[in-house]
Amino acid sequence: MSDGIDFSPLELHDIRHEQLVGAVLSGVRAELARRAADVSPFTVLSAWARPALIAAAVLAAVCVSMLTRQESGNPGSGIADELAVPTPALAWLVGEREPTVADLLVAMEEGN
Amino acid sequence: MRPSDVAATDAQLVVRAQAGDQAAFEVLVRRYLRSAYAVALAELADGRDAEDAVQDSFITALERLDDCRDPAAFGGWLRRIVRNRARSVRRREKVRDTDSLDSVLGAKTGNDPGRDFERSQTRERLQVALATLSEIQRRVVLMHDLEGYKHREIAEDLEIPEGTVRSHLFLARRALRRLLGETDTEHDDE
Repeated sequence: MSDGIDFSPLELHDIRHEQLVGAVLSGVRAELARRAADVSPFTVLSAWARPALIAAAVLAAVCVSMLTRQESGNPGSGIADELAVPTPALAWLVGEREPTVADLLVAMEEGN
Repeated sequence: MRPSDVAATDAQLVVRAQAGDQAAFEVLVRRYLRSAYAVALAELADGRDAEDAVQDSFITALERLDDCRDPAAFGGWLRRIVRNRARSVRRREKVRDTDSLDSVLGAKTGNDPGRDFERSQTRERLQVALATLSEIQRRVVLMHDLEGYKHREIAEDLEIPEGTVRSHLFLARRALRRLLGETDTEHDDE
């Protein structure tokens, strides 16, 4: 650029450059800290998106299956059936009683 | 600052800076500080005011970083902020003696007082000469001769035809040479 004007005296020399970089970084420290601490709603949503979708898919599968059974006239026992809860355990749940040791042994025998 | 930070693209750095990554923003500052300074200097024709405008502009840029729709074009977006900031300063004729970088950081430039003085004198003459140019001429000549932009890049940045850039550059150089007492040996170059 030999034909150009020599603006080198106007250039930011290295020391001045570093001073200005330092001044800028000092001026933005608070804003950077705020941004680092700030969790946006989008970030939260994106973090929850995958597990929420999986939960929704499982729920939808169970619901569709139940509806299909009801429409086909098979009463079943609803969610317990879908989740394959063992019959003795279902009886304990419905009866709202704790299983005895003997109940557990019988249930294990039947399971085998 | 890691080497990978320096090699990162503007888009990557902007996204990281949006999340508060200081190293990423520092790379952006270092990458664009000189060109931002040239833009501010073109508007204000005063080094100290230009430095203050640059400092304010980077702070504004970070605050508005979510508005940067094309992170890959961060440089152009930043230059517009700098230009607007510098124009605002010029309009208000705002002189911030108390908050200038010199008062905070010191104006010393090196270890040779004689050389510093000479450089300071030359800088002052250049600034006086630049102040006599029209705004567009000042912007063109500083972008070309100080920052090394090509005619095409200046034309795109200022949204004017390339031929107009060449014309402004020619006139600006001629005016400056006369004011600085140099021999007028103008040749248009790229």
